[in-house]
Amino acid sequence: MAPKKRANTLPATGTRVTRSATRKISQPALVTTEHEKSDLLHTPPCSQDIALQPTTLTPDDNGPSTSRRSARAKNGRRAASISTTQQTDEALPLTPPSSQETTPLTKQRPNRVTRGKKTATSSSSTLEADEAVEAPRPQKGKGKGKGKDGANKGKGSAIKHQVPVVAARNSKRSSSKADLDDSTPPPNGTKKAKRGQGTKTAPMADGDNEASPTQATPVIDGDGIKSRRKRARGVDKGKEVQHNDLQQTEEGGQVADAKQPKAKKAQAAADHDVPFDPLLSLPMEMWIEVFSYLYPSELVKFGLCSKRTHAFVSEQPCWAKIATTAELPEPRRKFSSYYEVVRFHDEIVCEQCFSSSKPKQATIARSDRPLPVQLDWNKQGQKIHLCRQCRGPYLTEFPQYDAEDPNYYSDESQTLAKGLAAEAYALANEQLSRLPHEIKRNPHHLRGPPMRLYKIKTLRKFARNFHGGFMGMLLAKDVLFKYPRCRKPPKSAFAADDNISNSDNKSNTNTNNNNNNSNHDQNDGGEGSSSSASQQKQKQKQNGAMIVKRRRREAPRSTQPMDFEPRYYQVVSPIGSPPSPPEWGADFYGDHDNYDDYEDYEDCGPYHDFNCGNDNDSYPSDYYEYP
Amino acid sequence: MPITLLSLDDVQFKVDKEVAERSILIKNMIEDVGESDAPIPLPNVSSSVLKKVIEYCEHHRNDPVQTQDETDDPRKRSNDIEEWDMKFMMVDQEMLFEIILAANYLDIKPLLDVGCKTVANIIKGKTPEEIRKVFNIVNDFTPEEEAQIKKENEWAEDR
Repeated sequence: MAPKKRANTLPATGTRVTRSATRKISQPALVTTEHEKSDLLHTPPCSQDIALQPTTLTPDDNGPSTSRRSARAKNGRRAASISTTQQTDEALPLTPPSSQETTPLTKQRPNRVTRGKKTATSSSSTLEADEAVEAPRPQKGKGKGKGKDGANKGKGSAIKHQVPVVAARNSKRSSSKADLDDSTPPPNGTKKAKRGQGTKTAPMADGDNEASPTQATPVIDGDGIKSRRKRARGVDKGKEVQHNDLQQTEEGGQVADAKQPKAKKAQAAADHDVPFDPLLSLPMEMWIEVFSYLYPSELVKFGLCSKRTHAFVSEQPCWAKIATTAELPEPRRKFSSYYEVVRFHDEIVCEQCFSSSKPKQATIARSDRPLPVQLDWNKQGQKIHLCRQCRGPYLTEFPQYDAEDPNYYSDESQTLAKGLAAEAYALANEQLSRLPHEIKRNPHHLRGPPMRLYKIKTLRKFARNFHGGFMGMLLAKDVLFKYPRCRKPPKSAFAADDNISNSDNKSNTNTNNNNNNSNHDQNDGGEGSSSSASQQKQKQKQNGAMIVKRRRREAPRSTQPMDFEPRYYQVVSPIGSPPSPPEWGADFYGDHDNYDDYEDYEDCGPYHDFNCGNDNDSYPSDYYEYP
Repeated sequence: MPITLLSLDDVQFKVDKEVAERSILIKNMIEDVGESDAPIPLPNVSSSVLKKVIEYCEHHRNDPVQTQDETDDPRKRSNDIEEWDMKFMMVDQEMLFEIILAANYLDIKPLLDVGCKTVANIIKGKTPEEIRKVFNIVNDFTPEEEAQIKKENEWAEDR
């Protein structure tokens, strides 16, 4: 039988027992291995002193190192211990010891583990006396578990005798985190136990110490013989406990339970009160993959949840990719990370293609700026900022998410002249020249260049596609342009025209209103500040109107739409035909609704580049020498 | 020829070779070892997760192999998930993450994509407060810190 092989008088492998008569040895130093602790659980109260002694396993159990120490044991002690062990095994259905037995012992137990210099050299009687005195004591704060045996906790060794392994461990499992901390052995004991000594761990004398990670659990074989299983420290407690549960309840062999891991996880999570942490559930690579499906603004929102998520998000490698793609500066002094760089340049970076568009003076380029576009999957106003290239296809696919032009359903059969079309839809000559239009006679000058009239329907469709939606069109028209980090707003001829028209239209009315207001203020008695403010406003408007007029005079000829007409006819004329005056050209070609006709002419003529050049281009040298 | 898969908790699953080879890991193992009746151990996958993975592989047994070009830029890919896959992924978060881990371990790219899309869709369109509730994240910012960080990331809050 296994108990006969056990020699309780000598420490087991690695066991260190101080032999000083002053009893500096703490009780856990006597029994710290899992085997020994588990033995304690089955030790009857009458043999408590023996059970608490450091057990020495036979070479069959623990190998040659154990046998060397066991050889030092005295024969008498060994015999006594064997006999008592037999009694212990026979008395496995335990009865709780009286409190008189445990209380004085625990009072004498020191808290710290002292490392003995000698082992098993004193007499057996002294050792046994020491060990008997160093019985486990109940500790304050122990046994607060919520388990089914929680009522028995805090009674020290009595619990061990009363409750078998499973119950004691259940109580340990159900103990709170604070209990775990309390029952954690001191560093010294832990360190020593890790060395393989296995007998120096401190927490032995309480009701919870049965569940120490270093303990061994007796396994009842099919023959009813107790074998010992030694586990490494730090093994999952839930796993051990469940395993022991099975073995205690089903004698005669191991039981394989398929639901064991899940139950273990759930039990462990419930016992330790550890909430499910998504950040720890997946490795970083998986999170990178998950975040690759998110737009940067959504990723930033995830980072706003907590400090950990913020640090987690800001360290993502996607920010470096975005900054590199958008050609943003590298992080230096001002911005310590790519995350901060991207965050600073958020308004110019497209969230889909990561391209950046800086404010430019060109009218068309303004619509390159990323604009908010409502996402299709979210009907609650979630928007992302897309550049013009990304906005166009998106709004083509989801036109319902484009802001509606309030005048969209107006009469689209009306036509606009070229200048008005360019102003209203922020299109340059290059785009307008490619659109179908009709040519009418100049209503102001008989010999002047003819008008080019564009249908509003055509203009709207083209402008929405070109600017990436109605919002892009407004942006190009300076309506939405805020110049967030630009000191000087870019000049805009169309904006100037708007000011002109506004100032021209409202100058008289404003003046009248101001006069009326001033009169009204005077009547009210507040003529001081309000009248001066209105006068200042009026002056400012007048000055603004003057500035605009001066700009209009000094503006390049490109802003005057009729400036392009001669060149246009030069290009669209068939090859070989002489240059013709505007009237003649208009009569010759008539109305053209087909855009393809113009495309063909553009590609075949010798002045193709001339047509698409900038406005300051001069006529070619051979213009009048054309055959 | 059926192939036996052995899960972490020693539960055996017999599946068709075609189904099992949806996993690149198992496919490579079969190629290396050759055909044998010995079960293929999958020590990182529990039986409950392996059952779900096999269910997915059986449903997608005839799907074409995903080309690498589609995965260049995930943001350009659609976040839409098939209806069956969406129902398949309607599990608790713990199981969802375990499926993702199993897909990563077994090298089943479509399943991994579906799992990641599902997690991304959980995050999408939600305010930080809603995300906290979903993932059980504790807000450990002080009011001052929260105000500061909201101010810094105002651009994302407004969107």
